[in-house]
Amino acid sequence: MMPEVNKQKIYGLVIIGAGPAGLSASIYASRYKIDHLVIGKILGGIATEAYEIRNYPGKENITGLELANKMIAHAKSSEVSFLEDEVSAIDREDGGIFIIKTKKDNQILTRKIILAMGASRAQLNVQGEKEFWGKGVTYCATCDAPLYRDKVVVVVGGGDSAFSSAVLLANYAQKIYLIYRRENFHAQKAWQNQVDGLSDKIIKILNNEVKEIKGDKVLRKVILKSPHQGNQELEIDGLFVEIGSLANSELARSLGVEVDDKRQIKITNEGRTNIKDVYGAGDITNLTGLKQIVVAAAQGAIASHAVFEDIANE
Amino acid sequence: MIYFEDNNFEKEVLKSDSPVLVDFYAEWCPPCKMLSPIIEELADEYNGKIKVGKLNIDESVNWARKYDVMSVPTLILFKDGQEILRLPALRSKEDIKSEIEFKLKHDARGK
Repeated sequence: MMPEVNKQKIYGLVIIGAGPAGLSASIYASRYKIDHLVIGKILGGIATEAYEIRNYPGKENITGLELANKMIAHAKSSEVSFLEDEVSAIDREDGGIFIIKTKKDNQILTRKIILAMGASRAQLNVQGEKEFWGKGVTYCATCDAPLYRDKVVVVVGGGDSAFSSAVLLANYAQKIYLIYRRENFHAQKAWQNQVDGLSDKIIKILNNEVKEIKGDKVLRKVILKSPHQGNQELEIDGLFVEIGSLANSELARSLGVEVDDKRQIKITNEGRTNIKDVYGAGDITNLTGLKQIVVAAAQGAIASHAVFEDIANE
Repeated sequence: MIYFEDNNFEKEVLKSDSPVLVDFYAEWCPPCKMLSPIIEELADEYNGKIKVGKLNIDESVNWARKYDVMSVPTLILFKDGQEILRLPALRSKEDIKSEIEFKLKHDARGK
């Protein structure tokens, strides 16, 4: 039975974020008997959108949703409180106690915090992107690829997520333009080979960036800009944005946590930040560029271990 | 949970006296599954003040097409037969509520 959230008491630890990093941190914190609470906007986090995961040990092939649901059930099997809510502010008393305020007007007190808020999908920030969101512009290939049967689409990006989206879309769309602004793609070789094997459908365009998205009721065309060839227009039905993610580090910065030039919070190998009693795990951190579920889960474990050690030494 | 379909959409959504929130979803879409319990909670909380229901875009193709639903999940809020708010993609319950409440408060067509 899940205990209720207690607003009077001071928790030993609050984990902010309920994706793989936060859930794994909670599983470890439960094993270490650290009295804690998990606050998450959406249980499972962004991992639930992954179309298939073929590199999580113990399961050759699993959907993001299935894996997330297993992690949620595992974390909830201990006596831990979960609060589905969004943190709006974190303050600190002189005594070192953190006061966490949420959008639903909850106020939670805690001695330590693990920041595991992950990252959000990056946007192009071009004209028309917002206007045609949901009307041709999308950030989730798993969700929307089947809606583009026999259509012409663009995938923007040069990494693994752009390539895996293009491969998925090849099952449905008639033609896919894979567009990247740099001189070379940087997806894993396995993905690049798969895309090359689908060259009848996927057309690669390098050195071009999206300048504008146009349409009427729905998206109709994209204007590309290239430093050498000038502008060109493509008539398309859909545009999938897969250009990586941005760390959700606003709250961390408000606490004085140091971030790098990508706004990822800086942590030590043990998951500690520059601020005492504040730890980090998962996609929000700068530890590695490898943004994978298995990495986030490992980092959650490491952060809870650091919390455990620090409590033991107090 | 109310399910809207091609043959009841006009009566239940467009001619409804109260505002209606429609969750355009698909069985194969993972974030739609994440949104589903949130939609059920919203239906409870709004308890008739706003009618809340779901529409399967593979089964009720006509209305999904008419409203150019090209992302799932997409939430559309209808009032007096008109679309007044569109929210594509999975989002938290609090986000959805604040968007809806803001829109209804500031909707110029309000009666």
